[in-house]
Parts: sequence; C-alpha cells; structure tokens
Amino acid sequence: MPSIETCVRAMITAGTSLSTAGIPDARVMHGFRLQDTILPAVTFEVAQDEYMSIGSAPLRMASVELRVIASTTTAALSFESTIRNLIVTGTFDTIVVSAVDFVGRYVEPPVVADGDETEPAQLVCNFTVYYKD
Amino acid sequence: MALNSALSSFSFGGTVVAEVGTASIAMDRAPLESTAIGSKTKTFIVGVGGATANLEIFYDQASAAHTTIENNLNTGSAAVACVLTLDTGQTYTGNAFVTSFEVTAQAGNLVRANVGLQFTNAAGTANILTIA
Repeated sequence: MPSIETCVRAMITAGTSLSTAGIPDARVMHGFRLQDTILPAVTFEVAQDEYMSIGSAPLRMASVELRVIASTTTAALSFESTIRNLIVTGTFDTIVVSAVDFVGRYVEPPVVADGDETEPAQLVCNFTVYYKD
Repeated sequence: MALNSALSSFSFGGTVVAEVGTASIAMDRAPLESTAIGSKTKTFIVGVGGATANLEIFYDQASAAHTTIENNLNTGSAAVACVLTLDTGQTYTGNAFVTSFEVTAQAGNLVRANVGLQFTNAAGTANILTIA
C-alpha cells in the first residue's frame, strides 16, 4: 500500500542518477542500515506528517530527514547535488507530490576510533514534501 | 459533538475552493445605543447585522477557483453564493464578493493568499446568513 515512506523512497530512487552516482537502490533504506554493510548508503525518516488544508482530499505536509552515509566527509558531500536534484514534484508510488522544499543540510563528520566506535560521515538533508494521498 | 474540520469545504460561486488552509465566517450585529437624556444607565436596541468571511488558501493560478476569486476582486464582479460546509453537512450560506486578496511568498513556505469576503444580503432577507 502506498505511503509517504514508499513515496519518498520512490522519489529518491527514481531514474538511475543515484545508482549511477554510486548508491544502488538496495542501499536506500527507511530508518536504519545494518552496521558493516557496504557504503555509501542512504537512510531516511519521515519525522512529521500533518494536514495542511480542509476538505475530503487535504493537502498534507511531511518533514523528511535523509542521511547519506559514507566513509569520509568528502564522499558524503559528493552526493549533495544528486540528492537535491532528486527531490522534485511528481507522482511517486501513486502519491502526488505538489511541492517540495529543500530546507537545509549539515554534515556529521566521521568518528575515528577503535573497533566499532568508528562512525562514518553523514550528510543530513532535511526537506519538506507537500502531497496528496 | 465536536466536528473534524479536515472534512469541511468552502465553495465560491458553486465551485469548491481547493487547498483551503483556513476558512472562517464572522457574523456581527453591533448594538445601537438608545439611552435617553437624563438616564443613568445605557440602553441599546438590536443593530444592523452583517457578516464577513476570510480564507487562507495555498495559492495556485492553475486552480480555477483561485483565479475566479481573484478575478472577482480584480474586475469588481457581483456577489456570488458562498457556502461553508462542515463535516456533517451543516452549512453557512450567503452571497459575498471579494474585498481583499493578498498573496504572500515566503522563504521556506508555500505561496499563500489571504482572501477577504463581504456578505451582502438580498433585499428583504431577515437573516444575515442561512444556517442549516
């Protein structure tokens, strides 16, 4: 069944630009990625979803946080333009996205430490999706 | 019983207006003072009633109802039937024309328009609006 989560995943994996850039669709996951799986990868979460208008088919707004996880800051940042170009209006998994707003992004640098204390870099992108079911 | 506004709608000239964030109708009937000279307390009689409506819409010129509302103001068109329908089918109905239309484009937000409507009654109508 289509949901805002499947819609966002379909938006990010639309076409071949992300896989061509180095992240195949199988590495685009909702919520989390397993430790020790191949990098780079993308995870995303819908943090908030609310009604914007009255009516039987109301406009809805969803706040999305997307993380590009890569071994270095430079590698994570290299996906920024690709991600920005993928966040567009259109119909994804039958859900009509009428407007999108790239709110901003920041970078969490990698943590260099011993063993499992090591953490990869993350490019965190926040965007808002306006859609109708 | 409380009503869910998510299932409400506002129509202008018979067309349901798309992407309405907020729809409000305000009725008023200001009292008329009838205090006699020498009286120590004020007295009032029922005044003349009226009503206005206000819409906040997510504006899009591709929406026919949005441009119809905009053109009503732009061309000075006559009042048309406006109906606020609530979840359970309860309605507020009257004839109104557009008195203001303000479009706002703000960074990080959708384009919005605030619409002001003035209800005007047909001659001889006793009530401000039809409430049913």
